[in-house]
Amino acid sequence: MTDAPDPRSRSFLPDVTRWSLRLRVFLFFALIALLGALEIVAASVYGYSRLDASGPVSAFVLTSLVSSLALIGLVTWVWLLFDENVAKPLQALASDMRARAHAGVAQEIDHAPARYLGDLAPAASAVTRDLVETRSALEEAVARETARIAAEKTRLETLLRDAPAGVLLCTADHKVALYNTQAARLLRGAGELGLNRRLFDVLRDSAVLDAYGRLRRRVAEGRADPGDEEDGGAVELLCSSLDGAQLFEATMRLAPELAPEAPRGAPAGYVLTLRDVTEEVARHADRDALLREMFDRLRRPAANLQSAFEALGDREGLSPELENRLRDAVVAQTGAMAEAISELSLRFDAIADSAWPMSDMAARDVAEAVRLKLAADRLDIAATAAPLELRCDGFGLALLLSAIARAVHQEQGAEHLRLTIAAEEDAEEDSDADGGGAVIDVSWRGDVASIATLDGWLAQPLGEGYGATGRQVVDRHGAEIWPEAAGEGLARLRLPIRQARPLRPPVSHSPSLEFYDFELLNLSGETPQDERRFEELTFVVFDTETTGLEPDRGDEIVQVAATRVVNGRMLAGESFDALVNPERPIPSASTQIHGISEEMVADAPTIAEIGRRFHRYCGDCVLVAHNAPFDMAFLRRHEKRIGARFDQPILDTVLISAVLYGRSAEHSLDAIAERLQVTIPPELRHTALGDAVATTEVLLKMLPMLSERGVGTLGALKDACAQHAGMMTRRLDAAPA
Amino acid sequence: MPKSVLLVEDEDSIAIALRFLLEREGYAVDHVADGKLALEAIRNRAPDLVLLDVMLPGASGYEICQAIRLDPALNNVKIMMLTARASAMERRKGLALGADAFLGKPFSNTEVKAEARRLLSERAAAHD
Repeated sequence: MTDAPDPRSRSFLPDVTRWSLRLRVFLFFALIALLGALEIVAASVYGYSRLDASGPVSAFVLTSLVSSLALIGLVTWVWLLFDENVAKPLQALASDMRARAHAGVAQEIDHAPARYLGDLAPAASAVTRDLVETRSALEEAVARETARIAAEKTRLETLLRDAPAGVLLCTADHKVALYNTQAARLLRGAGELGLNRRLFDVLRDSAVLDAYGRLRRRVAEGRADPGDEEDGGAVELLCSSLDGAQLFEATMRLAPELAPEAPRGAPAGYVLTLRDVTEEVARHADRDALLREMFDRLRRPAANLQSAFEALGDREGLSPELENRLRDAVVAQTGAMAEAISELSLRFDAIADSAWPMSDMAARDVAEAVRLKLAADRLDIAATAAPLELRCDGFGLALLLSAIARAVHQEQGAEHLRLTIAAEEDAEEDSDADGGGAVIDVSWRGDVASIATLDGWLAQPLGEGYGATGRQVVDRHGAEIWPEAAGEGLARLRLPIRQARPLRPPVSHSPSLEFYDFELLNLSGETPQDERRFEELTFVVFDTETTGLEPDRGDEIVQVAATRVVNGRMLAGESFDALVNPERPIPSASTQIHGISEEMVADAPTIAEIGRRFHRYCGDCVLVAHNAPFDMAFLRRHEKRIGARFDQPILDTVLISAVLYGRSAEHSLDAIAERLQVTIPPELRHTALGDAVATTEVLLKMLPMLSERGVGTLGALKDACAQHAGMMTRRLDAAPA
Repeated sequence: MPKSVLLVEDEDSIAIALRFLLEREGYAVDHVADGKLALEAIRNRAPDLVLLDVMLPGASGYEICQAIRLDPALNNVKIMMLTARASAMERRKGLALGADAFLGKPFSNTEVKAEARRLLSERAAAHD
């Protein structure tokens, strides 16, 4: 009975932790009442016993004194008890609940300190547990939904980015707010395409402006709901690239729904979908020219022949001499006609293209499709493909090749089937403008197939709902197919493909590259540049590498690189990076710094060409460089050769840093980067692009700091920098960034 | 002995002209108008040169060409293919199947004469 708790003891000693809070509080007050009464009785007894010694008055005084003191002591004791067991646990509980309510503490509330509070602690626990659970469920739901939306966004981005049509979204003042990969590819050669750049830097404006005007008028007259295509919300137009080299068939649609924050009645932006029809139009023109020439060249000999023959037939009065001349004429005219037909048919062969839609497909994808189709029939084929892209109807081709392989296997009992797609060896014989063709071989060990058998196979429909025979597929490719011996007991069927080209590397467009910014639709381009806030400005942040530090003594640029900042974001996909031939030697000391040797720039364009391209790239953006006067000095010297002036506003991160940190701080790029916790990968430091990116990151960190200090517009920043401009002249002599 | 030439051509007008032309060159010329009969005639006569149209009733010129090349007894027969659609692809197909020359219509008599002479002299050289 000594160690183990006696279960019966509970009945004698009630478990105080299970008493209710009301009972407990009642007990405190009962304690005060009871002990107070006892203590008054005791003090009265004590006072009464002193009645003789000190007289009635002092006995009463003594009694009340003693009873007051005792009461104070009693109340203090009970208060201590109350404080320890009720007030403190209540407070602790309250702060625990607060912690769970506001700070997101998920731990269970500790019951021990509040064990005398009856059900309060478990009740609080239950409430907070419920809170924590609800909250985490909510958080989970939000996280799940966020992830779903992000995934959906990525999918839509991918879809739009890789859509086969070129898609551009433009603001009402014709600035680009979105462009997809295909648009970038189509307009690559036309000029600078980028976010917040003018559309008319790449496209001729007249057709676009005309179409936009038509759409706006339609909407203004209430003739069309801009979102409803069938109502005529879209217009078709033909427009050409700025240089006129490309022709596009385009569809334009107003897109007011994409800028919900724009003021009502403000002109809406628009979506422009582009399809390159340059080749199509040219081919059409070629065909027309050929047809016209054919009639021209055949009509005359035909007419001549007709009259010569009629004259010969009518022998009356025909002298032998005249007859001979007529015969000669017939021979000559027939020759001319035959020659015209041969020549024109050759030319027709070159431009003939079946109406069947063809696409560029990787040879290995064709080979893989054939392999998979045959694998489904448990037939093995060894497939190899050169790194080529075939101009073909990939699906039809795969059906044809697998049907042939299956037939060869079933009817000829052929084993060791092999499919090879290789580049044409002697392209001269059937050369197309796009560079050589390709040859597809289906080979096997066994007998050569006969033409009659092959023709039989080709006459079969290819199935799978394709609705064409093998022969039709061959014809659509302007091709022929034939059997031949391949040596060493091998036979093959050979199918040349007229158009093929080396496999292009896939467009490396990482998902993170920015190709749209819908906020641009809400920006008004009418604010004067100096009054614009930083996020309304487009910056070009650039850096140059040079042969040395003295532009006045013949040092030159060897590399220029730049990034663009639109709406506060650096656009990774729109950077500029070019080597420049300095037309002078590069001292090895300089090569050691930037790693650019004379061999590297030997074939690079000169500053006249790169400067022109860079000036075009800069457009009307704000130029930013670290120690800008240094870089500008190199560029300005060549403005004449470049044929353009760099008259854009220019900012210097050295001066911006001085505005923020005072003149006495160090303003080297490394020092600023360290201060702002921007890390420059060491291998990129002192490459023009690496330094331009670092300068951009530094700028992007400093701009909000400037805004906080009340320097919030370009004009204000220019003024602030001007106060430190004295540093500029001093800095010119210093080392470049 | 004159060189023998077999003309496989279903269009009479051109067959008459070609026959006249080749006979004037001193060749012994035979004419077959049907693809099916052609191969039999070639096997029987083993001519020195076959002038072979591609589009024939019965069997295509390609088929006949392949059959000639697969028959070792006909090793020495030279083949000149004639076709109305002489695209580069068809030329390749014809040559791959073993034709020695490939002429697209229209062609001039001079071309045919020159090609025939070239092929038959090659054949003579191979014989010697």
